[in-house]
Amino acid sequence: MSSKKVTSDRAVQVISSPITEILGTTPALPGESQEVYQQGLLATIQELNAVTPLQIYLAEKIYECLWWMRRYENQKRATLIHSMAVILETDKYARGVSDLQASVMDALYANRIDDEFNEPLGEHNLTMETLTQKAMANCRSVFENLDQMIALNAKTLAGFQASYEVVVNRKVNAERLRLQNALMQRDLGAIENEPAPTEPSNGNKDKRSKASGE
Amino acid sequence: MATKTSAQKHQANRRNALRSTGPKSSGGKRRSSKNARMHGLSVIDSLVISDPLLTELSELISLEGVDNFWAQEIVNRIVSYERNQAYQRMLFSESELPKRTATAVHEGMRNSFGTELDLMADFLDDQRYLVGRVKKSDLNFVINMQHKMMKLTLRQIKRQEVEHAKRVRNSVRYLKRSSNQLIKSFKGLRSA
Repeated sequence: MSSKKVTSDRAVQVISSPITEILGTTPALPGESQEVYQQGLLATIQELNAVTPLQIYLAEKIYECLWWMRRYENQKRATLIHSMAVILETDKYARGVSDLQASVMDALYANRIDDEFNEPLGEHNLTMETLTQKAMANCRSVFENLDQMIALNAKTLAGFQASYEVVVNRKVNAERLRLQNALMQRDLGAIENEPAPTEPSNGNKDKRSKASGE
Repeated sequence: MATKTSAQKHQANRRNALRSTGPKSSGGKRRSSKNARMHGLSVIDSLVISDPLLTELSELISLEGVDNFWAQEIVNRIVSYERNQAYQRMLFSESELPKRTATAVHEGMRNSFGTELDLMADFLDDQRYLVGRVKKSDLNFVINMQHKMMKLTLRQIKRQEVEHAKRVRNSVRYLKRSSNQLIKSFKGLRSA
């Protein structure tokens, strides 16, 4: 029931449930890869074996919760890196993002700890561990909020998983009931149409007794 | 598995509801009556039965073998949940902007007091050009004014940050509510 569209030359399969299509929601934010989102969504739908519109919608919501959790994790990392870069900034009156901050952030995003990065660390008498510690202490409240949001999404995800099971089992149960009804109807029909047992005639009885040698 | 609320728990809920911390004064009630207009998250989310959106969605949900009434209930909750999600996305995009950086402060100051800043800069230039020097009192006046403007801008930014935090807090509350209601309605399909 899911609809598939090809949006560009790179053949990104846009998969969404008819419910989402009617509502017209776009889960990926600017700067996020629509392709990655769609691939993950497709994998989730296939893994859950979602078929009906409601099942696909729930699979979508399950994946969206995971996407949100990943988004918050990314934001946590970005916040930590930004805080580290601010700590290493020597010019406290710098406007905007200075060259030093930019290079520090680049190095941290690429996980590249080289001499260029160690230089400002040495200037501040810091090591990588103490810098991380200081940065984490600076943005503790932000982390707290983000962790709360992750926890909320985890809870919602569990709820959607349970809902998905209910929807799938409902279908199975309905099918089972339908089959049971059909079986009962067949049995009933068989009982109604069964010919009444006839009394065997005396002649036959004599023949049988003769055949058995009685 | 859905559990039924015990009688004891039910009574406790009733007692707690009586101690509700909702608005008491007429002013508070008036203020809270406009909550729905602030972000649109607490509006009553019942669509009109003849709404084509509702009909279309209800038909899709009815494919699961759900009766019409229950399908409409689910549709209402889906719409409410999606509205909350959209609001979360909007807030998340906003929160990525750094607020209290030096650049943001200077930009805010220019937005609020752009004309005054230009006038003061022109005045100082005129003094330098015409008189040859700037009087100390004039310079002090300009510096003091710029200092005051910066303080005002910082206060404004702080207020915006507080408002933003409040909006985020409220939106999380509404998101929790809508997601719980949606999940509950899906779980209700077990017995429906």
